Amino acid sequence: MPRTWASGLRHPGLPTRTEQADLQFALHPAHGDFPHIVVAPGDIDEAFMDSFESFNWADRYQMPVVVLLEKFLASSMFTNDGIDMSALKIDRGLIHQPVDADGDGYRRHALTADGISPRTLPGMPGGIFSTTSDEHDPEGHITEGIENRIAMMRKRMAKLETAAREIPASSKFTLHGPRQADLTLVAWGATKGAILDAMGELENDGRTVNYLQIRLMRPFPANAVAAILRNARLTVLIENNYSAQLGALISEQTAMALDHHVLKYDGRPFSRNEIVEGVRSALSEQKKEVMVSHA
Amino acid sequence: MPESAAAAPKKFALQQYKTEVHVDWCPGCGDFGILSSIQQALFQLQIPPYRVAMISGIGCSGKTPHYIDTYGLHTLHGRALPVATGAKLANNQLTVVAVGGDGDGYGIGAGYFVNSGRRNVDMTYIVFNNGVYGLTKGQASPTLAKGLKTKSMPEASIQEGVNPIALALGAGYTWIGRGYALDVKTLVSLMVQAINHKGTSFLDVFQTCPVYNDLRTKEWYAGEDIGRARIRKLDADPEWDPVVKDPSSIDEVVEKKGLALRASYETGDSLAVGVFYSIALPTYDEQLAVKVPALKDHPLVDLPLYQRDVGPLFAELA
Repeated sequence: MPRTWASGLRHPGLPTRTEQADLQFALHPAHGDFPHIVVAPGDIDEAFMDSFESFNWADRYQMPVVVLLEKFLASSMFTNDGIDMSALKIDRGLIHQPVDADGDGYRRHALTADGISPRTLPGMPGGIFSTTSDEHDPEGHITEGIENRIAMMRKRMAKLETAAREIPASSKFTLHGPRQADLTLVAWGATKGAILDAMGELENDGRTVNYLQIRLMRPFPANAVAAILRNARLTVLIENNYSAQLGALISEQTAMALDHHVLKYDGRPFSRNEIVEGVRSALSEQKKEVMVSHA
Repeated sequence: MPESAAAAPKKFALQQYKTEVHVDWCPGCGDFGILSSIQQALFQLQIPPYRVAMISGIGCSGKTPHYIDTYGLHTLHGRALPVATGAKLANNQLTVVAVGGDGDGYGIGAGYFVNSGRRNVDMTYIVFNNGVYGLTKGQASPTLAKGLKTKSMPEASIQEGVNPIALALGAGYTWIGRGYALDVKTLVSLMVQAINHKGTSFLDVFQTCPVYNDLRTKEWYAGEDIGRARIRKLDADPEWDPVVKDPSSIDEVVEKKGLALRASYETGDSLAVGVFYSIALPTYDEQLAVKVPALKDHPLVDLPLYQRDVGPLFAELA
């Protein structure tokens, strides 16, 4: 299964700098309506865990997984307190073991309730399969039949629901700080460190502050995010891009808009001070959108 | 093949290399000759069907794996070779055969075509070369020569056609051949040699597309207009010797490549088929097994996955 590592800013012109410009690209990386997983780690610990799990998810759900890693995280030096690897387990997903070397009616793309068809590996006696990038029947042969198309679309998309059900909430999002606060910051990816640092300073303004960090972008935890946003009094979106791409995703998935946007698109990562200044400026001047750059 | 071996009972019947899937190529398509040749070559070699992986790109040729009862992966346009490379590296006990059209391989897949030549993974690549994009109704493909105008083109091509044999020589393929789809006997023999060769074998096959290429027809290859066949068999010349005897001799390599190059530029009224070039060089898989000795005894896919404890590494860096 393919796994893609997207990093910050490759397209218009700053290949060695950082930005969160590729979230919407990672969500729509190709033509067609197909399932895939997009996860965006916020620090090196999450990058390690998400990388490990991405291989498991790719095999378990038989779909591409994009780990959206930012240039800032990939080429900075960090320290941590060690990573607990005892809970990590390699999961190669469902493998069909043929009982008869002459074939036992195995069908590579058999219709199943959770959308996942056990696979065989080329070279296994009795496991011969056909597969194709074209629409196919359960045997993996090309067909453009109407009923089969509907069944196969539903089967593939059911895998997203299966993944959404099985992936733990702790991998999907984190609400840092109190459950209820005067001000809720919403962000994703490597802005995490600067935002955590800025929260204390913002609390000095007399508001309680929490921070919703969204990590799993597809399948999107829409219900949980909507519940947190409904509970929030004042929301500020913080993104390292021009077009507030997570804001667009939240609107798409929850039909909710965030109150203010603090954006930065100079090719450099957010500093703690830029977060503080941007949030203060948006709130005091009642601006929908604020751009910050200390360059 | 010795008489006794030929008479020995075969474990796998020819039928076991065929599926029951309806073949939907146009009547008279040269692809039938290539499909039949692949099935007969696998049968002659008696490779267990479950040990074969047929990998294709997109186009009429892309449907080939559906008609052969082995592992079959019909992948993306131009991407047969990278998938085939992955299949062979994951399981070095597989016989991997990639197939595709000239548009698939020399157009969108041209970068993979060149880099597969220098890599020399032990696999076979067969190209169905008909000069047109048949599946999309006959646009000019990379091998259509300048000045030709097939029936779906509004005007003659003003681009040169690529020379696949010359490109393969430059890329470093270690076995290079060409066949003709309607001469199945020769084609089977070439495929058997290609599959037996250790390294990446490249077999370009002149294929007729009776529906969309109305210039390179079976009558044209038969030379009905000039009174003699256009196909010229290289091995009809007793002097023809495409095999490099001393791979360390750059002089011999250049000499043999030069002869192959000259033969590949025969066009018009004489088209060479047969083995153009062959050299024994270490394969990518063999070189990998030197670095990873466990691969000598077991394919990668059979090696147990295990989790390394990276704790000591972290401790060392602390």
